[in-house]
Amino acid sequence: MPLLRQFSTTYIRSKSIIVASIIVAVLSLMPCFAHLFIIRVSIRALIYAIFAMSWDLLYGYAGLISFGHALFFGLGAYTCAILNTLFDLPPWGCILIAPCISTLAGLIISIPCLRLKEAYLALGTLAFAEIVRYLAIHFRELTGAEEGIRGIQVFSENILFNYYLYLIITLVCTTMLLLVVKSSFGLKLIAIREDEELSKACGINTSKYKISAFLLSSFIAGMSGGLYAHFTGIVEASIFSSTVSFMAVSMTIIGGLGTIIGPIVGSYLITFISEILRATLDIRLLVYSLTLVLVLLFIPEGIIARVRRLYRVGREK
Amino acid sequence: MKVLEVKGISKSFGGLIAVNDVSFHVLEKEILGVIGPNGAGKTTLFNLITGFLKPDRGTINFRGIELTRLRPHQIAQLGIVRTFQLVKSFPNMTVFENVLISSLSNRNIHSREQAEKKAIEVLKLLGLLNLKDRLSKNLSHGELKRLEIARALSMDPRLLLLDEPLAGLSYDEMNDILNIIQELRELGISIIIIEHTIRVLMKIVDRVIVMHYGKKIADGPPEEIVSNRKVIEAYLGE
Repeated sequence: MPLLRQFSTTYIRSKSIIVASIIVAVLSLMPCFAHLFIIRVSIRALIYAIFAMSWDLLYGYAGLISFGHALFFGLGAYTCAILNTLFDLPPWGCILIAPCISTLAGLIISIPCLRLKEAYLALGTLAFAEIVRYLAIHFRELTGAEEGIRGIQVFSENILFNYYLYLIITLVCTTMLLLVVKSSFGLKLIAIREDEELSKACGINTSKYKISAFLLSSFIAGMSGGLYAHFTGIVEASIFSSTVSFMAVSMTIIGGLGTIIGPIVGSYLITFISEILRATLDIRLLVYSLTLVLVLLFIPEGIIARVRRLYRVGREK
Repeated sequence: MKVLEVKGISKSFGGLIAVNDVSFHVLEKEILGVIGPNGAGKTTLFNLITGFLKPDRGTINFRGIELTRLRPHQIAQLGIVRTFQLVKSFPNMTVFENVLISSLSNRNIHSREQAEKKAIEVLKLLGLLNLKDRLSKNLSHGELKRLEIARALSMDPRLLLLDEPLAGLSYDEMNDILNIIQELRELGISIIIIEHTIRVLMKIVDRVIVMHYGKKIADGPPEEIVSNRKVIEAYLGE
């Protein structure tokens, strides 16, 4: 029996490796058959996927809800924008520094936020993001106020090069996060989400783990922000707005909370729908909300979890 | 040898004095019962020992280490492990993961492999091995009570604090747990058990302390406690 079980888990594992390889293959071969517009939208989807994954780590695993995640995204983007346009640092250098600045912000914010839970934590993080948005508008010499910063360098003029670069970064982030959540560290984060008091009784230093989750999440969010700045070339103060935070929230919930892969699916879905609609009407917010409501009504566990369940049911039959 | 020595601890919540100047000790391999009516301060006493609450006054000494300055996870890592009155688990984790979480914090364990081995070993000891892949939210009350003890054991406790381990169990389940507790003593673990009544503890405890309105009103072997006038008054009224 144990041998059989071992065989079946290896079998499932190899199955998911096959599925993952197919997806990666499709994504890497996409430039061969897809229109340039699709490639551009895909890059956007990859950026938001990384951003949404960082939110998923925080809420889907550690149970820490942030409604101000745009703060880390925006800070990463502004760091790149300022370093690149004012100090002429090349994109490669900027993208290394941006996540560190976001992580620093994550550290500063996580300490007062440790005492907050659920709705209070959501509001606390939202308030921090609003403060930073105000600061971004206020310090106009550095940030260009509402108009923001323009003319940020892109990584390369070659769109295909950019696509593959962003794809590789996304894959590296995904693999890293999957390894993290499967590790003992990830297990402890889940334990804290499930029951914080019991986690303490099990010898887990909950403050340390919660701060670590915040740091890792803000690092990744900061990097996605930097990638955004070096792709669009423009950063505006509206990047700190709650709309951007809720984008990560809705993408994760649509794709599947606590799955890491889910946010990628959610990001592709939302980004493609809203980019296609953008040409006719600016009704992106309506699209997020509508998709979110539909998912919550019909597949509350998210797309990925539903697909996995259907697959499992099909196999048992 | 005294494993735990509590001296003059007090804790009040607003105007209510939950624990009032309580002192007692636990010896090596001793099973100490703590009984008292509802609201006597028994669980507060556990929360003070395990660092979930800080005492207003008094000291708690564990093998020469002052506990009142430490945080709950540090106290747990020393091998002072508790269970909860209202049974707790990580509901969306498997039984195996529930135990693995605490064995990872075991002070004698330094790798994931060792922790996994320990978890399996403890699950086997408590007869939960066949449930190891079940989510703990799908367990029965009796199974959850055993899981709580499994989790505590995976940390190799030196002092085990059981908060009403028998509450809500059937007669057979109760006997199972009592047998397990006695086996633990053989492993050299000191144990403090909270219960409402002394009856179920009679057979296994070495000594009993009785709490009433936050005060310790009696301390002695169980035979002596059952005939103590103060204790009878506390339970039956004057």
